[in-house]
Amino acid sequence: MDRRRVLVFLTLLLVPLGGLEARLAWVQVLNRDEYAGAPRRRWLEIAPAPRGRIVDRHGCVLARDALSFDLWVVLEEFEKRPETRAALGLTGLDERIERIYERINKLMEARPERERWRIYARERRTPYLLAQGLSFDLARTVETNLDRFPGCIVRETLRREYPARSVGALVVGHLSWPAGDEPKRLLEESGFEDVVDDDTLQLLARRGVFDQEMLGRKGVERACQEHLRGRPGLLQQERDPQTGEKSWLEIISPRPGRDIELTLDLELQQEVEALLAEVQKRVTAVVLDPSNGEVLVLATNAPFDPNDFIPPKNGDALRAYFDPEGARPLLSHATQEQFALGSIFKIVTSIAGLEEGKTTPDRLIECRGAFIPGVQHTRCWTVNHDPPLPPHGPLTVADALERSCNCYFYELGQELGLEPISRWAERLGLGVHSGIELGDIIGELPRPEKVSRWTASQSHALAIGQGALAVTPIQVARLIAAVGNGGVLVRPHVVRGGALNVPLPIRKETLETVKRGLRNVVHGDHGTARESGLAAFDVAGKTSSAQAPKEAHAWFGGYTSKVAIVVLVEHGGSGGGAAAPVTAKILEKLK
Amino acid sequence: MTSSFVGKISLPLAGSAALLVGMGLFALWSHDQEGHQYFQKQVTWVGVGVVALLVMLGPHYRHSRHFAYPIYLALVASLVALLVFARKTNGAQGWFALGPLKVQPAEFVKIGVVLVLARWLAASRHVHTLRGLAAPILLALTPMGLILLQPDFGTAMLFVPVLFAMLYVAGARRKYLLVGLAALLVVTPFAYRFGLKEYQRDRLTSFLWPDKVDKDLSRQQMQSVRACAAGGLAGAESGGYYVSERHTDFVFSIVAEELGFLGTSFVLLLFAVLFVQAGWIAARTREPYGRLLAVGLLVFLAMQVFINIGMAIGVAPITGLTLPFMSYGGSSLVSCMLALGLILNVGARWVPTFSSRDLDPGHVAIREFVPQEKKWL
Repeated sequence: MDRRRVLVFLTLLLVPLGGLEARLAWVQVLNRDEYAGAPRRRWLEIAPAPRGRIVDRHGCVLARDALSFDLWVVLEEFEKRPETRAALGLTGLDERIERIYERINKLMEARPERERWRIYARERRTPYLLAQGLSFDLARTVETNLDRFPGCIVRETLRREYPARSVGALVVGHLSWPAGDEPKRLLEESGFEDVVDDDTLQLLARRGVFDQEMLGRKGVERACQEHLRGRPGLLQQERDPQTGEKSWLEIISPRPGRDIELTLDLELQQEVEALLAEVQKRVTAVVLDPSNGEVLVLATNAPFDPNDFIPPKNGDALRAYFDPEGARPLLSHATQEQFALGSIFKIVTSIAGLEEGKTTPDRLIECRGAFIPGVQHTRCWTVNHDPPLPPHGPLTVADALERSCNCYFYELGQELGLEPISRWAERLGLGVHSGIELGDIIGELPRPEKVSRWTASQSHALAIGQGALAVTPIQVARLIAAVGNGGVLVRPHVVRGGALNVPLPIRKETLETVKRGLRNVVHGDHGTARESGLAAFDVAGKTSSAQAPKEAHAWFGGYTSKVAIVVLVEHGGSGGGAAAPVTAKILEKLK
Repeated sequence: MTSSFVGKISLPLAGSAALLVGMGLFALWSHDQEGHQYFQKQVTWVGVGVVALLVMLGPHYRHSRHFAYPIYLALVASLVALLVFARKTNGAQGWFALGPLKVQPAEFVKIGVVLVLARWLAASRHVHTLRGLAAPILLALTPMGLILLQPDFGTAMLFVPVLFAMLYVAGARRKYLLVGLAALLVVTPFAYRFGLKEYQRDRLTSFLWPDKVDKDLSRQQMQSVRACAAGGLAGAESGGYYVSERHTDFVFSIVAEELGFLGTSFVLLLFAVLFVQAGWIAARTREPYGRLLAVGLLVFLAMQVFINIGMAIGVAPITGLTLPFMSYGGSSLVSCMLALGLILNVGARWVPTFSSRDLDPGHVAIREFVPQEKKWL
């Protein structure tokens, strides 16, 4: 215990203190600039990149970004002159200002009592978005008479517009605000982190720089999001230390999105949509180029206008679109809804039977009206017809297709069993994704490995396209196209350059037989579509009346040398009576 | 407390601590511009701390000897309880929730360990032998191990220099201390490799190889260094740098940014005054318990100062140690105030004594000092 030891250790304590002081001098004074890094508090703005245009096959514009004007308002200034509100001449202004105050209130409530007045004052000095899509005249008036419109700020932005409105909307799709962590993801993918530090990145995130950019939600707008979107740039405000002048420096230049060329024919699409609008029931029509799968028309009579999603939004329209009781036009019945197919499936059964050697083009099977006497669901349609028709008698496969005889296919289905039918259905594009870019469902197709028990009556049902089979119209269009183009399975696509053709292993003889049958459906003496007006065209096809609750779905799938067409009238009754006439009208437009 | 007692309290020591607390409050005020919530809470804690300090000043410090073991045992028990019960927070379980308060026993264990070591060493006649070192080492390593398990590597690390300093001052042989130091140097790499968790290693190495470790951690330190540098000579406008948990671990960077080199030098000067004054109190106190108390507490404070400031300016690892008197946080501030109270107490009870070396003919008050136990001679 001696004092010297205490003094020694006290000295030891002072040494590190001296070291720290030296380091501080080094960091703070001698090498300050090196350690302090980039200038602080950079003011950054996003330079928006215009979304690419969407054009049809002839270059007609379906979607584009147009210059637009937004009105921002600083409430404190704005409310000094009450007459400004009226001078703007905008409708719904009071309501919108009220909404801004609601937001401010929400902000205030999140903070302790004593801070609220300050939040309130601060927010009233912060610009808020008041109106979007200002007319050019109003924007000019406000910009040139700033003294008359205190607190008003006009900003140029890009606004998506769809000049064709609802035409082709099913393919084009629509946009909406980013949700959830999408703004965060957009920021991460922006490439900004290469040029700014993490703090600035967090600052940008806090300011919500990507909260305003609308993203594709449906159709091509969504499917080609990456292509269309481009990359926003980053602007940095620089202040000249001498003059104090501020200027904007482009750190990252915005890269505009690329254009998308659709396979659609806008004019045709418009005509078909107008034509479908006259049909009472919900109807879907698909027109394909059978040689390469290009979708020329994808139409329905439940239209929506993608412009309604762009601010200023059309609230009433949007409510109607999302009303679960309503028509739900945003759900594409061509790709995202599945239906019983019915007799069109007989094409598949025929091909399977001929290819598997279970039948020949010449083999006759007699239709006696009832396939198994006394069993209700194995009757031919002639029996259920009002008035009942005589049985078809002995038929070849082509005849059976022409007359849509159930009994022939009951027999053939029973002989084939599940596996070959299922295999050929899948080869012809049923039960699998069609490949269309719009995001389609696969429907339902019984498969041997999936079903535990398979009975003859299930084979009967499947052979005529009933039972556990559900398809989308786009799948049917693919099937029809494959028959029409001589046995090549195409990929239906809406964006140019997306063709993918797969030849199917179908013998020429088989196709000839089936095609003969399909041609007679329209042109034969007994064809189910002979009285639908189709006979005027060089067209072959198949009708279908698929059993459904209430009334049967009416289908017609047909092809000419140039197009494959599928029309589905939901609960429309008979294919020959409801769907085939619509097809005839479409073919009329195609001439 | 007589007026003569009050007059004996070391003004430079108390004054430098008060100014440091003031600097800490200033930093909190400017850090939290909106509402000054941290500032307001900290003001309350300063009040509590001052009360704690006065309580420590009241009775003669030697009475604390009687409480050394109970306090020590209670604190060790609380550490054990913490390991058993406490909820996991942020990967470390370092605090008890007492209603709205979070109490960190580790902050107080430091004082408990100093008390018990001082008592043991003051009473031991075998400090100069190897066997005599076993008990104090055990006394120090038990809580250290428990804190390591929390795991709070930073706080645990503090116990080593404190133990060494107290053994050295108590008269342990240099030979043993040097051997101990050497052993520590040999063991450290192994402990580093096998004893530490991944994230702890990252923290330790982040200041050496900022690129190789977790981005967040090194970024935190990098931001702190940048903020310090931005302060320059006389300080800069606040803002721009975002350092998480800045009000606790990185409070020094606020001062550095706002007041610059002049401000940080002032803070270092205050700490230097504090060290010298406390060291002087230890040096002149011949009564071993008081001297050891002052030494132990001083080393705790000093080590935290070195590591925390070093961390803020990028020359020490990130350990989560607070800056005495300045960092936000009740446990930290109150424990520092307690330590300060004890040191001031030791200083104020000083009576000049005769010895062969420091004869002080001006005073004859030696008879006032009547030791209750004579073991320490």
